[in-house]
Amino acid sequence: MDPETEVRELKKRGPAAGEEVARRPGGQLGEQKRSGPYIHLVGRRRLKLAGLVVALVAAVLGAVCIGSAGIRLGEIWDILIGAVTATPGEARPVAQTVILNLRLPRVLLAVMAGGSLAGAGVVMQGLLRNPLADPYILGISAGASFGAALAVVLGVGLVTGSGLASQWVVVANAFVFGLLTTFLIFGLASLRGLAPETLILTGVALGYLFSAGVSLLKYLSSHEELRELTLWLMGGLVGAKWETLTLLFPVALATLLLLLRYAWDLNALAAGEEVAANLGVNVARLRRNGAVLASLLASATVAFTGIIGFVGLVAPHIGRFLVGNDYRYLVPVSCLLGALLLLAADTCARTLARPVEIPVGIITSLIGVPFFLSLLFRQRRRWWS
Amino acid sequence: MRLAVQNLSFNYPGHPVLQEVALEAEAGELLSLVGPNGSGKSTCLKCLARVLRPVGGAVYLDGRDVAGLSGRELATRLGYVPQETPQVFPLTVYEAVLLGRRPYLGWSVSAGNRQVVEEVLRLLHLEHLAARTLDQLSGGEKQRVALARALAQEPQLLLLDEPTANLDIRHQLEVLGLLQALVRRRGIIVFLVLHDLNLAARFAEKMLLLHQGRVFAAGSPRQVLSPENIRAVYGVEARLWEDGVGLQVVALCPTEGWLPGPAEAGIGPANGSRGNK
Ligand SMILES: Nc1ncnc2c1ncn2[C@@H]1O[C@H](COP(=O)(O)OP(=O)(O)OP(=O)(O)O)[C@@H](O)[C@H]1O
Ligand SMILES: [Mg+2]
Repeated sequence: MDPETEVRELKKRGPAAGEEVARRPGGQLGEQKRSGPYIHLVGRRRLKLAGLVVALVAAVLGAVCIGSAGIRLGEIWDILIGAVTATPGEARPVAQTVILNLRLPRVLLAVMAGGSLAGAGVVMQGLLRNPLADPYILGISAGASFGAALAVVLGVGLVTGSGLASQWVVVANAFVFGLLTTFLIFGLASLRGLAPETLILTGVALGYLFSAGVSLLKYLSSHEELRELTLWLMGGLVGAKWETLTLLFPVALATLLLLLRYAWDLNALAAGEEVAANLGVNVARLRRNGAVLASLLASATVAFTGIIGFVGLVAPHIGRFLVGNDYRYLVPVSCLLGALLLLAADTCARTLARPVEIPVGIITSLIGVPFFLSLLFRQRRRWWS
Repeated sequence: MRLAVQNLSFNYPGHPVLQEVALEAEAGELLSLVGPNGSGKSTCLKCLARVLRPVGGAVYLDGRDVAGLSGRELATRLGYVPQETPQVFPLTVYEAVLLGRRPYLGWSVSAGNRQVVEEVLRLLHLEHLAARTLDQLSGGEKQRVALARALAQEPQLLLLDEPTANLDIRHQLEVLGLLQALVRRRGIIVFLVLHDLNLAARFAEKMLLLHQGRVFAAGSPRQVLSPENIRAVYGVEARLWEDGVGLQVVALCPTEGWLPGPAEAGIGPANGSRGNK
């Protein structure tokens, strides 16, 4: 048979693959399917999200009950319920102070700080398309440290003289310098077109510069100042107060909600910058706004807690193992995981060697690293490549 | 939908890549862009898709300059699939295709949008892979997912950079058949880069031959693919003939360089590249 008739014969047998789709008008298709692979996937993710919320509430209650003051469970409940309903119970005033003014703010700060750092981390990873990104890659930690060191050692800050107590000067200075670093990086990197590699390398370079500055200030500082600075740099939640929480909470909540609005854009960016652009995402604007918001979140947290590493890097990756890479779920799940991680670490930090406190940064590394490595090597799937 | 490209020029720092490229296409046309490596095919597609900003000239969709379209307008009119799609944090196949619905979505995914995705998955034989992540797919499967994402956008203009490069012979035919059907029944425009001149000649009624950033020839495959043009652009001696399937091109050997003698015919380098891939 000659090829001409052969093809014609073959064509008679059935429609080509495309014939079918073309017959239907786009998007308007026959029967509605109730369930499907996607519904199933989303259902499982919602379940995991709900599970984490429950776990976090349980962990908060548990952490409030654990401590060195030796207060009975019954009394703790009395105090908590009394505080919620605003009726004074029969609890001892000492116990009341310990729970309401020491433990509860500290536990809540751990939740907020962990959640914020993890939220900033997961967004940074998505924006820069880099699994190693975390709140510090854009120099936030180094910048904040330098700001804090300036305030501690030289007593100067961008906000001195406005009548702030000295401890607030450190906080404000760390925050301002953390955020300034991000602007500086974007300013410099925009000269070369805001490619993720440029941003990361600029961040790393500025990080070295600020670290050198901190070292210099340490060298110049007195014994007393050095101690204060070292404590700040080690990071910790010891100084948690209700004031801290009322300042941090609105900032964290607002930035996280704003960042969540970029969830679909981040999903699109995962498919590459060109594809994201084709899907209607303004990639440069997404990078800039996202990074500023994430830096705001991280700087605000770091200003109060000092440098707490690892949470912002690890929580997002555990989140990816758990719910995959859809940022609509990944961002909240990472925040919850970060909160859980830091809460667990801080609870260990204040109870393991009581009455001595272990710096929380040491604990996050001691329990976090083996846990993370075991996950990394046990998991068959790779959530980044 | 009408596509008009006028005087499109583009430079990478230091060297010009595209010079005065012009083309026009009406609804219901399938165009192919062919040319040797580095001739500027991908660059041309990127300029059309607004991924790159041309130095000179403009791209018009229905008379509107694409430079002035909003992100959403662009996304619903024009689907672009790059030559390579890097993945850092791989989504599942379903989610990757769902991205094509992003311009139509708010926060959550309605049943209508899911149906479009499932329909496209079925058409490209990807249903059984829906729950897999992209890092667990073969090259051809990934390529079909990338195409599926663009189809899910339901655009009126599809720009595809070598959409069949990694596909087996059956999927090459099926994908091109699918595109042909979409062009005919829905009246969209498909503009694709192909290296396989036989496939290009068979499925696309219009062809552009790019040579060093300029349109060397344009028109029907019969007009564009002549032994002289192929020699001038690719530097290859080719034999062409027509049969019921379409215009057939066999690349024989490079114009300059080693020519296989009769005894070596069949194992020589030129004969091995039938289909000119
Ligand atoms: N980012 C870049 N910077 C500088 N030059 C580039 C860049 N990308 C491509 N080029 C150059 O532009 C020219 C055209 O490249 P293009 O990718 O458009 O070729 P192509 O026709 O798609 O080739 P292929 O068949 O290999 O895909 C080539 O000479 C290439 O070296
Ligand atoms: Mg190319």
